[in-house]
Amino acid sequence: MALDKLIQFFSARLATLNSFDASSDQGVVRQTCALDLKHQFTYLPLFGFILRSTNVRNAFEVFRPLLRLAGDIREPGVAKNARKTELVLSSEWDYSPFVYREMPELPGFVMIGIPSPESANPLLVPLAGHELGHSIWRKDTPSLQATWEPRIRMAVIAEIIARWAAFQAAFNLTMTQAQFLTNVGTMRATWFPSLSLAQRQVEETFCDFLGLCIFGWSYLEAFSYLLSPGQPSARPTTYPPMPDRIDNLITASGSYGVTPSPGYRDRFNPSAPSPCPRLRRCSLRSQTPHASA
Amino acid sequence: MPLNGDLGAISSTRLGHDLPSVACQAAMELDNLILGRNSSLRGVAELSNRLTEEVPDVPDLNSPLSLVDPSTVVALHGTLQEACITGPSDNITDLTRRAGEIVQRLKTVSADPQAARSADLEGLRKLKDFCLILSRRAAAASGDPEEARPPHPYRRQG
Repeated sequence: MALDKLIQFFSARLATLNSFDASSDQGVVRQTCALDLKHQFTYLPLFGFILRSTNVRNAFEVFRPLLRLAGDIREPGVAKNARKTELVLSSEWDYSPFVYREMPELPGFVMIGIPSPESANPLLVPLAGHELGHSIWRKDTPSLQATWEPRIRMAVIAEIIARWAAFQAAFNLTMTQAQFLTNVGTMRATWFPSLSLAQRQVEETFCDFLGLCIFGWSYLEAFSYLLSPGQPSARPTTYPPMPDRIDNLITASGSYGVTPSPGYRDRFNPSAPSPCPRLRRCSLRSQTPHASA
Repeated sequence: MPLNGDLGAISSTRLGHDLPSVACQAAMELDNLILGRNSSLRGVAELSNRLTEEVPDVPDLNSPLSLVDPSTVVALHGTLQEACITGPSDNITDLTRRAGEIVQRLKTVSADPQAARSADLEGLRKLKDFCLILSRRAAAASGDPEEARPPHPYRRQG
């Protein structure tokens, strides 16, 4: 079914390209071609992903439970035989599980990739809970993303205002705080990357919490199995620093009635390497160690 | 938690991450209209709906109103300046007001394409240019600030 939808999509794109002629606006033609080139980069890996979903190395025995879980999360209250959620469970020679988030041309599809070398490891199943979180972050209107956006934006602005002098110096700004709050140009040039990173980190935190909420102690153990003690190099800043992720998980465990194993925090490095210099300017990391959002 | 809805069919189309394609489709439809070809203007209508939703009339950037996808605001700001539709204003209220005007023009054209063509061909050309620039700007703004995962240390893309 996923392949059928992709074939429909690319057939429609081809028809569009074939509809151009010499009288067509060359700027429109060029932009259409550019976007279709991007589509090739975006969707071609999906064909390989779908192909590998048929590989016997996949843990087919977890397909039904994961599909049921995905349906329960994405379509609560909908009868099982009326659900539209589709799951593609595939594999990759990649160290950690991953998900293709809500692809525009494949609505309703949850596409989870499990590391091939760990296909026999049941600890990979709880980690799929995290990946399911990504699949619902942008789902529905208003989506979780849209619901959280104002809170994240206001938190970023509050952090900037709290350190206004440093912010002004970093970006050589002469405007007042009142001007700053209405200035889209400054947003674009200075704090938009910080906002984007904060949104991504909140999404990752939500996904951690969803995995913990569903799988409880198993999620904590799976997380530790895969990621402790943390990588030695600079972290991707789209994720919260690992110590913060652990602290957040432990805090959330209390809310979910989960008891982490003794010494759980000690399995991870106490501090994370700094982000690369290129992104340090975008870092609004406050003195408080926990995610406040 | 999100409520149940028409699964997927709404979600992707109502968010801004595919704005480049919608804006480009609108530009193509307007080009066809200018050339006198019969063509659906569904992309034009969809773009007007999307801008209405994603660029609300906010008093300032600290507003609790959702911008849905802030990259749309960033892309629109650059587009208005590049298309010379507005003066060099960075003010959010100017931006939302201009966005409202553009939305109204898009709605007028999609409601009665032939009347719009007869009335103001030059206006249609400007609207097409706006859509094209918006597509380019949105495509540029929608990239991740950083790659989702670090590249393999020994792998290089062609």
